[in-house]
Amino acid sequence: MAAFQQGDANAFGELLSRHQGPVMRYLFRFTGNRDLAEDLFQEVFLRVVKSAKTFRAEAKFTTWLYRIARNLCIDKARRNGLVTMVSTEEVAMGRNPDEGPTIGERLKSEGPDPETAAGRQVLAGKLSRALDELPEEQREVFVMRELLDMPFGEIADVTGTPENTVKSRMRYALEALRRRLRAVGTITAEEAR
Amino acid sequence: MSDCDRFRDLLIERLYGPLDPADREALELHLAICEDCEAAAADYELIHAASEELEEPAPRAETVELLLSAAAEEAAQARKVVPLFGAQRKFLAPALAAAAVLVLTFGVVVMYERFGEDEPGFREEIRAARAPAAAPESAEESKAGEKLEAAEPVPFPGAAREPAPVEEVATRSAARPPTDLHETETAGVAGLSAKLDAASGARLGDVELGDGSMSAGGAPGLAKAKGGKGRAGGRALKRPARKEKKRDTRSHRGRRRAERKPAVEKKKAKQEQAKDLERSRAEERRRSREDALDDRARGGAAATSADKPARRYTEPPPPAPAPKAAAEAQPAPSPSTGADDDADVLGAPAAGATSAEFEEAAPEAMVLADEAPRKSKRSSWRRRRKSAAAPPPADAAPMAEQARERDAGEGRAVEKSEAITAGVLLARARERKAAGDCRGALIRYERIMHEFPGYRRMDLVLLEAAECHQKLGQKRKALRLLDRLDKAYPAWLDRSKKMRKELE
Repeated sequence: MAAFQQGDANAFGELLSRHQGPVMRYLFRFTGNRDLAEDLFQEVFLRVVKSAKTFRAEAKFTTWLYRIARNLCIDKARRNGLVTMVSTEEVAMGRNPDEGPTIGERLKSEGPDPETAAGRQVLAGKLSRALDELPEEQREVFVMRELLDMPFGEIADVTGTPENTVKSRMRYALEALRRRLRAVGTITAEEAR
Repeated sequence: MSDCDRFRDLLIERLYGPLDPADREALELHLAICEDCEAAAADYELIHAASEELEEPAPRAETVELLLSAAAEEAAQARKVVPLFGAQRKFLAPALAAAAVLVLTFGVVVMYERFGEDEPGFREEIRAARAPAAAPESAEESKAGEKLEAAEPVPFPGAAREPAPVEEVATRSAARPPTDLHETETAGVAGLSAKLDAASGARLGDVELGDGSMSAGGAPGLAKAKGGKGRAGGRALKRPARKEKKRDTRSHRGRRRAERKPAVEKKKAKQEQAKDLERSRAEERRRSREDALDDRARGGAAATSADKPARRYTEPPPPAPAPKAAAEAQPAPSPSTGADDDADVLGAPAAGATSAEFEEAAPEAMVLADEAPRKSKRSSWRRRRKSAAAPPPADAAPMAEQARERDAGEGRAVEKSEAITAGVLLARARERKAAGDCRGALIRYERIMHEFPGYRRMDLVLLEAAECHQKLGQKRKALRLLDRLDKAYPAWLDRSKKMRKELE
């Protein structure tokens, strides 16, 4: 980033190649729409280009980058009325995910073994759908932790929330996903109808 | 937080990194006994594994290209534009703010120094208080006025910056005959220092009229004035209260400065006194010398020049005011009769007179010209002129008075000092002229013309200035000066005509 600030255009190419995948993943998971994610991706990096002068070396680039991405996503979602702020309590009040067979058991009974690659792909599809249904706060923490491999501390910096809150959100997200994936057979049946 | 909640957190942490041995052991023990947590652990592992299989969308190539071109443009601009103050730009605002604060502070200090201690209107009141002393309305007022006059250190703040009142106060209170209260006081050094303190107080505007120590030892006149009646006395009475009020409103810094100043001022006043004394002595010597010259010129120029040429005369004359009688006998020279006077004394210069002749015609200038190099550069015409133009120093007042008495109060002393200063200028001008520096000479000639229009050797000044202009090829200016010469000094007509011919 320092090189780009000095006027090195190639440095930006390097930055782009390093961060385009995770950013696009984050945006896609946040919006749930590929085209929208593409637009936002362009906007995020254009903003990086324009605001490069204001970036201070002591800040971490990824934190700065994902803050831009997150703010753009929130703005876009607000404009489109897509933001659904579901409280963690509401999510926690659902059916007890500990009841009934585990995800693996359910999948085994319904189709491929989740231990195999094919089974994992089937599960990933269901997980993707389950993720879309997660509240935004939990989804972004899950995406950042699972898909971007971001430490909880950095997630706390990007989202501007305490680290413990981030960890709690992660746990709620996992519990919510468990609950939804356990009910995957039901969902499949509904979809089939 | 229940035990299970705590272990669920540990389960999540285990997904992304190794746990502490203690936590790991505790977790394993818990999982062995808690089926729910064991099931959750299995599910978490499965979700974690499945998330790696999630779709990974990539941006389109066009989007990437667009971004790269935008970045290239921006980078090119960044290379072109040199940021203001570069890396130091972030310090620019604080630096500007600091500079603004400094400038403001300096401005406030300067304003305070200038006007802070001055109270508009108070000066006028003091003047008004002084004026009635000259024309009192009644006998009582007259008395009060006299007392106020005796208590000369009029302590108005506006006087704070002018040194003259300090000296004036110090010397006047020293020279003046003691008032009735003086008799009750201790005289001598203590009294003098107290007076100096009073003077310092006057200078500072930090007057302590109500102060017991002042009224007891320092400024008896003031103490008296306090009790005086009438307008002047009333003013004197009012003043302390006003001043006290003023002083209270002063800043802490101002008060501290005012407290510090008296000692410094005291020292300064003493130094000034010594300097003035020296100056007055020098003045006295100079006057005596000039008187001697006058006597010599009047008594017999031939005899004097035979014994000792005028321009070689360097010894200071005896300090005794011997030429008093001669000075009284000779009428005061006036600008209009200056030429005649010179003609009588020195003889009219012949047409085509040389510089040497001119030198003889202005002996005092030559004497001083000889004398001047021996003095330091600093004692140039500036100081002499200053001493001549400015009123005599305060403690030199009695001496000056004596001198004036000696000259029968005809203002001769002033004219003489002017003549001396003009004479020095003339000598300098001639030095320059002789050295071929006509411009330098003209500066001095013009100074004489402007600053000493009544100089008795103005004829020489005009003529020599005209010669300088002639040498510089400034025909018009030379002719103008010759016109002036012809008009005021007909004795030089022949010389003037010759010059005009040369100019044509």
